[in-house]
Order: sequence, then C-alpha cells, then structure tokens
Amino acid sequence: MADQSAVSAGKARVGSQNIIQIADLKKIYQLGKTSVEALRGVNFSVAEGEFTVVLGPSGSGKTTLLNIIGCLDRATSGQYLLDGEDVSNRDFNDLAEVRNFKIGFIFQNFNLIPVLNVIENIEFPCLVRDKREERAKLRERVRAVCAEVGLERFMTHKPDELSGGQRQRVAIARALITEPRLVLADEPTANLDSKTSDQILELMQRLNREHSTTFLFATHDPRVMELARRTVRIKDGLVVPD
Amino acid sequence: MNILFQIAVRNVFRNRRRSLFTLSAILVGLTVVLAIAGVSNAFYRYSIENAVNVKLGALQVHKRGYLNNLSLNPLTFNFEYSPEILKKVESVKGVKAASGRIVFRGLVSNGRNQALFFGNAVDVSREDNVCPRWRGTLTDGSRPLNPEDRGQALVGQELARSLNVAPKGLQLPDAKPETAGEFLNLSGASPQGRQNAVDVQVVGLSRSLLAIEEKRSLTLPLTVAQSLLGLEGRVTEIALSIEDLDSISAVQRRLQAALGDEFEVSTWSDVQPFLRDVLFRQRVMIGIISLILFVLVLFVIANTMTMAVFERTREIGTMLSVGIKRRQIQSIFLAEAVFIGVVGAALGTVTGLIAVLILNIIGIPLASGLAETGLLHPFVDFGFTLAAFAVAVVCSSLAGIFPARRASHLNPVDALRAS
Ligand SMILES: Nc1ncnc2c1ncn2[C@@H]1O[C@H](COP(=O)(O)OP(=O)(O)OP(=O)(O)O)[C@@H](O)[C@H]1O
Ligand SMILES: [Mg+2]
Repeated sequence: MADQSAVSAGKARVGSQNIIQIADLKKIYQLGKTSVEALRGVNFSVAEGEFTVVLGPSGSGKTTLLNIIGCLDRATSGQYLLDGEDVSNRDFNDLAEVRNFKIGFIFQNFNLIPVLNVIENIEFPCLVRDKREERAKLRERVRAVCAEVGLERFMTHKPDELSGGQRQRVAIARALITEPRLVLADEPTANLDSKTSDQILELMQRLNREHSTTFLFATHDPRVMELARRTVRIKDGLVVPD
Repeated sequence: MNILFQIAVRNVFRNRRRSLFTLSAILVGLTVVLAIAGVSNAFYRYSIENAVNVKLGALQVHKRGYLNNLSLNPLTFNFEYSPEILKKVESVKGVKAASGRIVFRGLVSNGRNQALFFGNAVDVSREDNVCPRWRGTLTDGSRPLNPEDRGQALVGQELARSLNVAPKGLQLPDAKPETAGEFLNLSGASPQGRQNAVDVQVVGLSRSLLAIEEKRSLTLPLTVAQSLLGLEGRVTEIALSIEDLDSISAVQRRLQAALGDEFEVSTWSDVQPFLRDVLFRQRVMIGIISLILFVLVLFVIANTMTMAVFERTREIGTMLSVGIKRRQIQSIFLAEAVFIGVVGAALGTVTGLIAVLILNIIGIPLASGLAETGLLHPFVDFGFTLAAFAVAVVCSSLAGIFPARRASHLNPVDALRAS
C-alpha cells in the first residue's frame, strides 16, 4: 500500500527530481578468503525521464550496479536513494513490492517464462500483486502495450515460437505494463543482430520520449553511446569522468 | 485460474517424460499397496472362515471360568445340554445355529500300544449348521460320521498309522495288511476322576495342515464321549455360527446378556489367540511394506521437484525480479508436487482397484498340501482405499515442501546468474 501511494506521489513530482541518487557506493563480493571489489565508490545520479547509458567493458561492474539500483541486491556500503527514498533497510517482501511497482527489468537473455504465452508473460507482474486490477482492464492495457512494441500478431505465442527481437519486445512490454518509474536494461541487445538491436534501441528511445519513463541502459557496445543523450562511463568499479 | 497454479500445471506437462516417470512411481506404489492389501484381506478372511467353519464356530459358550482353567480340568465346567439352552441361544438375533461339544483328552489303545489323544465330541446332527466343514479333509476310503453313528470315530491319519488302524477295506500305505485293525479302545476320566473305557470303530482318517492334529485328533459322536466321561446329557461348550462375521461383537454382547453371568461367550479370536496374533502380525507387515513404498514414492517426488527447482533457477530469478513474493514461489512448486501427487494417486487408485478386481475374479490358488485347495479372492474396502489415496497425496505434498522452500529462498541475483 505504501508503495502505491509512493508511486502516485512520485508521478505528481516535477521532472527535475532525481530518481537515482548514488553516493560512494561499494560492493564487495566475498569468495571464500579472497574478496572482489566490484564497485569501489560509485557516485552518480539520474534525473527523471532521462535515457542514460552505462558504458563499460566486461567485468567493470555494470550488472552489479544495476542489480543494486533494481533492489535485487544490496550495496556493501554507501548511499542509494531510489526516488528520494533509502530502501537499504527494507525486507525481502518490501523490496519485491518496490521492484514490482517502481522498476522494470530488461535482460540480455530476455528471461521470459517459457510456459506462459506473450499476453501472460506481459501481464505476469500485475497478476502476482496482492491487490489485482480487473482482468478485462488489464487485458486492454496489455493489448495497448503489445501494439506499442509491435507484437499484436504474436499475442498467443509461446516464447520459444518467437525470434530474439520479438522476445526482447515481450520483455520490454512486461517491463512497461506496471508503468514503472525506472526501466533497467542490462545489455538488452547483446544477444541480437545489429539490425534487430537498432530496432530495439529505437523502440526503447521512443518509449522513453512518449512515456517519459526513465531508462538506465548498461552496455559495453560503444555504438549505443551515440544514441544516448547521456553516458556514464564505468571502469573497474568506478565512474570515469568524461 | 490463478496464474501461479497455471505455471505449476503447465510445467508438469512441459516436462512430460519426468512427470510420467514420477506419476508411474506413485501409480505403481499405490497399485502394489492396494494389491497386497487385497491379498492380505482375502487371506485374513479365508483364515478366519476356515477357523470358524472347520473347527471353532464364530462364537463359543462355556461355563464361566472354562477358558482360564483349560490346563486344569476343563471337564468340571460342564453344563446341561438341554433343548431350552439351545433354544435360548438360537433365538438371539444374529445367531444362525448352535451345537454342543465336549473337548477332552484321553488315552487311545489298539491293545498293544497306547497314545494320548485330543478328543472332539460333536453333536453330529447339529454340527453341520455350525461348522459346515467340521468333517475336515478325509482320506480316500473314509466316510464321515453320521447322526446314526453310536460307536464310530474319525482318527488323525498319523495317529492311525502309529496305532495301525484303518477303516475297513482301506489299506494304510506302509502297513502290513493282515495286522491293520479297525477298532480302538478309548479311556478317559470323569470330572471326578473315575476311569472308564469304550471301544470305537474307525470309519475315517482325517488330514490337517497341522501335524499335531494328524497325530492327536480324534472326532467322535457326542453320546460316546458323554458315556465315556460320565457326562450324560451334558457338554463343555456350545459352538455357534452367526449371520455376519463383521457384526460378531454385537452378537457376542447380545448373547452374553441373554445367558447371564453363569456363562462366558467368546469369539474365535478369544479361543484361538494364536491365530489372531498371526493375522495381526501379518497386518503389521502389510502396513510396514506400505509405509516403505510410500517413503520410496516420497523420495521420487522430492527428487523430481529438486530437479525442477534446479532447472528453473533462472526462471525463479526472473519472477523475483518482477516482484513475486517468496511464498508465491513456494506455492508454485508445492502446487506442482500436489498436482502430480493427486493425479498419480487417482490413477494409482484406479489401477490398484482394477488389479484387485482382476485378482478377485481369477482368484489366487492357495498352496497347501491338501487335496482341497481354496482360491483366495482379494478385496479391499472403501476406507482403506481412501486412506491409501490420502496418504499418497500427503506424501507428495510433503515431498514438495523442502524443494519449494529451497526455491523460495534463492537469492535473486544468484538465481538470475544461473545458466
Ligand atoms: N556473484 C558474484 N560473486 C563474485 N564475484 C562477482 C559476482 N558477480 C560479479 N562478480 C565480479 O564482480 C565484477 C563485476 O561484475 P559485473 O557482472 O558487475 O560486470 P559487468 O560489467 O556486468 O560485466 P559483463 O559486461 O561481462 O556483464 C567482476 O569481476 C565479476 O567477476
Ligand atoms: Mg553484466
């Protein structure tokens, strides 16, 4: 409930509000006796409605950073405010609610649920809520999102009957159905050919413009940078100044 | 339908081969449990009916104290064998027929050798209605006792061999024909200890599954024993057959009430605790076998579910990323286990019942050394079937709990990194 009111309160805010605010964020993975410092004091912020690319070579800490921002993981130290709110002390189920209401994920390997068809995959985040909206209304919204991402003709297909580009469109639609404050895309084009990649990128940028949804896009592909209004470079767990 | 339940069910169908394997484990387990329970039931009923119809009768009436004093002198617990008492017990609801007996011990002699015998003196004209198979299994050339017999007897074939007697015209296989006799001298003592003797003509040789009976048993008309033991007009027990063995305790209670404190009414299991214990032990064995089968089924399902969780780790990570709660993940995998369990148990119950039905129609031959071998007709009752079904379902649910808990406690990041 608290999250729902937070969502509506967030919507009322003006566009200059920082959705992500990160200060001196560190993440240390403990592997037996050795420890890996994946993030070594990251500072940056993302304003509402921005399309930001996090660019960095493999192993630089992009996924680690996105997992913390997406409330899938916790930082070892440092501060992270999501929508002005410190979520570091929330318990597991609270974080699940935060993810469900505020964040949409798009992954490199699509991560669809194989036994659900396109419609069901897209509406899934709304169906697992404690308080569900009317099924007919939800279906209407799913149809609209499908139209937006160009999936009208594949609504009853299963993921394994779709191409990579189509699967990623389903993932994008699933991320958008909850009307999240923030969409996190972790190398969403890495498994696609360049033409399909371009289409997916174009789609995400259009959605960013039309819905003014904030996008954070991690990639090691410098080509993507040209499309972004803003790039955050990351190397060895640190943000590199331009 | 709930989306989580749909995911569970669809995954069962998606992994068709593994689901079929798991299903067949439950199915085979339940079928075997029902089949062995069916055979056991049939054996149980056969044993009881055998005991009841051949020798004991369903219920027995004695003078109070008889059963506790069997080793002393049971003959002192004799009572009057009157038409009144017969009428009294036969008018009790559920009683079919009644017949008086004297069970005693004595010495039997052929003029040269002596042996101990266990005498069973029966009211020949009535015994048929109480123990329809009381004549037992007789050897070829024997004849059963008739109501007209006054001095005839049936002798266990081993006892006959050792005393070298045989019915007229019947040759014992390894006896010298010229020496085989037809008559035996029985001696016994009255309750007061007065010795007496009587001659009987052997008309038949009886066989038994129990060696002791072939060696010791001697069946004779009630009147012969009464005059031998000085118990004219008296018996030591009245055996009864009843309409329905399942309502034996009710009939026992009514009979006891009708007869009052002077008498004690016992069931077949009271007078033959040995048989009751054997049958009880057999039931315990069946229970243990069933339990083992159910535990095996439990492990198969637990293994299937553990594999399912392992294979779908990244899927779990995905669901966690869109904000599913731990208990929802748990319910997906639990539903899967329960679904397989219910379907498997339902199919297993059906195949089990079919197996029992087929066995019931064909019948299982009873392996015994006697010429008269019976067929066992397995059967199960509704309560047991329902219980077996329920236990199978409960087992599968239990088997799902641990894997489901594991699934729900995965760390989202680790789950998403799984290949
Ligand atoms: N769960 C983990 N346990 C231990 N070390 C980890 C774990 N996750 C990441 N790391 C390490 O942290 C560092 C950063 O990894 P991360 O996955 O964030 O990089 P990345 O920028 O996403 O790389 P890529 O482009 O290959 O996906 C790497 O050195 C990696 O080996
Ligand atoms: Mg990565």
